[in-house]
Amino acid sequence: MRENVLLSNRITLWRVALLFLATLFVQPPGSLAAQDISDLAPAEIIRLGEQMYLKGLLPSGKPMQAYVSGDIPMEGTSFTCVSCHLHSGIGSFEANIATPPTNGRILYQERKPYIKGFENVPSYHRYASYFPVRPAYTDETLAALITTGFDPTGRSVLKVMPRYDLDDRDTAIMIAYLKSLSDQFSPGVSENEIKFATVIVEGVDPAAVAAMLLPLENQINRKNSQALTYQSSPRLARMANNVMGPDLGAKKFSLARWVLKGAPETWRAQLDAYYRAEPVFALLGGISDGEWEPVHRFCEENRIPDLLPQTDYPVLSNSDWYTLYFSRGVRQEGEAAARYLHSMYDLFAGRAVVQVVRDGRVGKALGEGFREVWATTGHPAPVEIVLPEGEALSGERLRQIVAEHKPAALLLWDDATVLAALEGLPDQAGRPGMVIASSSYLGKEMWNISESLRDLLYLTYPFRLPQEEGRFDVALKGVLAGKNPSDYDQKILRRSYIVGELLSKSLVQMRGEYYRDYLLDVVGMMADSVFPLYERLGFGPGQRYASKGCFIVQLGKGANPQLERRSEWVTQ
Amino acid sequence: MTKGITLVILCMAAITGFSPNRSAVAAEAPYKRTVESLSMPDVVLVNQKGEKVRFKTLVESGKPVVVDFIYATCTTICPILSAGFTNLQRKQGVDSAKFQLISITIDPENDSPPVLTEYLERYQARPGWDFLTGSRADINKVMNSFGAFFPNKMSHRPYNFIRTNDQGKWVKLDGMIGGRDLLNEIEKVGVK
Amino acid sequence: MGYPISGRCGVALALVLWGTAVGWLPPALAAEPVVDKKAFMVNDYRYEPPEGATANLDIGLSLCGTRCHALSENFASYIKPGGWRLIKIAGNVTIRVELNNPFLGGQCVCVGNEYKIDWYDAATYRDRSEIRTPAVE
Repeated sequence: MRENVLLSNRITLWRVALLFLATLFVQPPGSLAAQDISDLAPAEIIRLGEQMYLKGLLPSGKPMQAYVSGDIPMEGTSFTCVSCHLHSGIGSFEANIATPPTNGRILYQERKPYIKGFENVPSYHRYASYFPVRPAYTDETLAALITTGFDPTGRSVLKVMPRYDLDDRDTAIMIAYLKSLSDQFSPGVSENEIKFATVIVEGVDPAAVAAMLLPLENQINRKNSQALTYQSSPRLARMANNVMGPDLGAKKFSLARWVLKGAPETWRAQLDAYYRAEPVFALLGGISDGEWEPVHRFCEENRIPDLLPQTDYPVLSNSDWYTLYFSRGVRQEGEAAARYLHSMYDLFAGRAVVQVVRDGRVGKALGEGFREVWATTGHPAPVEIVLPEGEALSGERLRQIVAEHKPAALLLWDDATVLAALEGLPDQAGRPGMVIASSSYLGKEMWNISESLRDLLYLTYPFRLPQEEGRFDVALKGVLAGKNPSDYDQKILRRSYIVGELLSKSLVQMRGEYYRDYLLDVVGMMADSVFPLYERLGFGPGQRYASKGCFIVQLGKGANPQLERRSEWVTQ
Repeated sequence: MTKGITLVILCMAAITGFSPNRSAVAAEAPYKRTVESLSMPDVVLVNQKGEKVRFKTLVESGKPVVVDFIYATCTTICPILSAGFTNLQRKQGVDSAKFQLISITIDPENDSPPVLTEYLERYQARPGWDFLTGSRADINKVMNSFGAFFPNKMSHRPYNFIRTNDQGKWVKLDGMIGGRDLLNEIEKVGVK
Repeated sequence: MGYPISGRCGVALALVLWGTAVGWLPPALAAEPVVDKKAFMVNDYRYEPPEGATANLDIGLSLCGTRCHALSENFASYIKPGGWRLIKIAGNVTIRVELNNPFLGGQCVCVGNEYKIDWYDAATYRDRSEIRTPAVE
């Protein structure tokens, strides 16, 4: 039996080769195709196949057995299909390793050294040349590839892909899944158009909505004008063709506004209705003052990508896939404070860390962020004091907290009303070595921190410093042409600009493979980039939060102070 | 007859492997081995437990050391490199403490100590395999000292570096090396 | 709403802008004021503890890394927006600063390169090869 032979981890390459040949010539043709899985419902086949593809787990629930580099036995959970072929199955690029598509549509076609219809598009041509030609796979040769590591031409892939020890039935389930993977282009894409939508929660300041919409609609307008050019000017069309190819070059984009009204519990029905009326390929941006979770769930369940909504409260998940966020939200500042203090904790000589948390969404998010990262360091839990909503922290109460706990570091997750309470702290005996507050929570009042507090008070600041950000106005000018920059919220505008950039770059890199999962795969593979607003922004395969950094800063001296960095963008 | 010829060709192909010098299949080519003089930077990195590690001290502890550059969410290259480390530890058994394996993340933004711990568990790492993160500037400095600077994590290369007994001399292995080959290379620098 | 583009010039401009967006053309730039500023970028650092102190050398080195890198500017954030260039004017410049940590004394020695920050008009300046990129970002 093939599977029994493969169980030996001492198997050598030539044995595998002979095994491959046996699969082709000795095994009765069609034996794998004939493997009967018709007792399983189609949806169950897909579920089991997806479990193998994404998690490396057999239908029995046990890990698949993989042999890496031909001879290293590893559990398939460490070597899942998705880790290289990605969610869409269209494959990945990393350094000099190109992983080919593994979706049935492409596997079951002959691979030529070019892509038909795209012979003169450099990026397509380059892509096609990465992979050797091969005949179309059949169920038998695909089964042989998975279980022996040899493709239909006899070429070994064992140096880059494990061979998997699967029995005939599990192999048949896997093949059925691959046939279903990235089979039809996703909804929202037609021959002439790609439809997008952006979600706007009613009640958000109209100026903020305008700042969010401006760069997106600008990008859509540019693309549509370009598509028009493509049809009317062959000379200019050639330039577009070289970058985008004839297919994307000719397509127009549309951006619908999905406005959500009323309580968040009612949003799902509204989203469903919008989607039923006009399915879109992806959601772009979007904006909410508070809740985003219902939109996140809608995207997850309908498998619709949402590129970078503007919310302070993203859904935190290690497994959800369809919404990409700018960051982990306001809580990321609490997390950064924990990492910063961890870097010097050994100097605290046993003194406590105290965090004062304003009861309310912002304070709680900051407090949670700090607490959770601090817990991973193994240090004693911080002393936590919750301030009731609406009740300002008094100087007296702060003095008591400091006198009682004598903290090495004090975290104040509160709004700008806390600044008055801090005034006497620098002179108090036994005061903390440093006080940390959130620049986002303090808001514009942080620029009014009194001189006497500036040595003691540190701020979390999750953006590029303002004095260095001005250089990026150059990039924004294209978006703002003819408009007054001060009419718009700069942070919202800049974030939305990033969405437009990300969209255009990823669509070009998708090479006409209009699958929603592939859009997310491509964004994941994109190089870290230098964009406005964030010092560093980038995903990575499977990563969901683009900006992981946050500076710790202090306010400099003088009447017109600048922020001064006290940390790097990321501290571990 | 035709079938017999095809069989022979396929057999030859399967045993020797085609080696067109392109991308995915370039990995079929043998790995490249060079010996380089490297000077280690004095920086403090952070291991999977969140502990500070003075990199120079760890590397120059006197034990044979193998270093690679990976990151937790990487696609093709890192799983293969890490399987090589898993294999080394398995094959050396209780003797795996004789040498130090060091993986250094090239994605310090994402790779916090808990992420590193989860990664090592996934590859069944034993004591003696540390996964280091740190500030980007310090990680860049370490990459530079190995002549392996990757400004973009998606363009890194499959390098293994083995510290030899000869002061400052490292064996650099460039390529998707198999488990047995890596073991042979380790043995060449004196680990038996 | 986005700004309207119409007519033949409009569509040509639109293509150029889309091209800019996808990164195959340099951004159209307006003139910017000439600045007279230097940027410092750290390559190396060390910790010098207070006289006689022998404890906390590792953590001091680590904190000096943070201190020196916080002083250091980001090369990419100068050259990526387009229009700015950095001209190296001195190498191995040493800056000595207080560690400035409330829990540990001592000084940090930050060693790096100094750059003159220069503005150029990217619309007329095409030879980007002259923008030298150091090995460290």
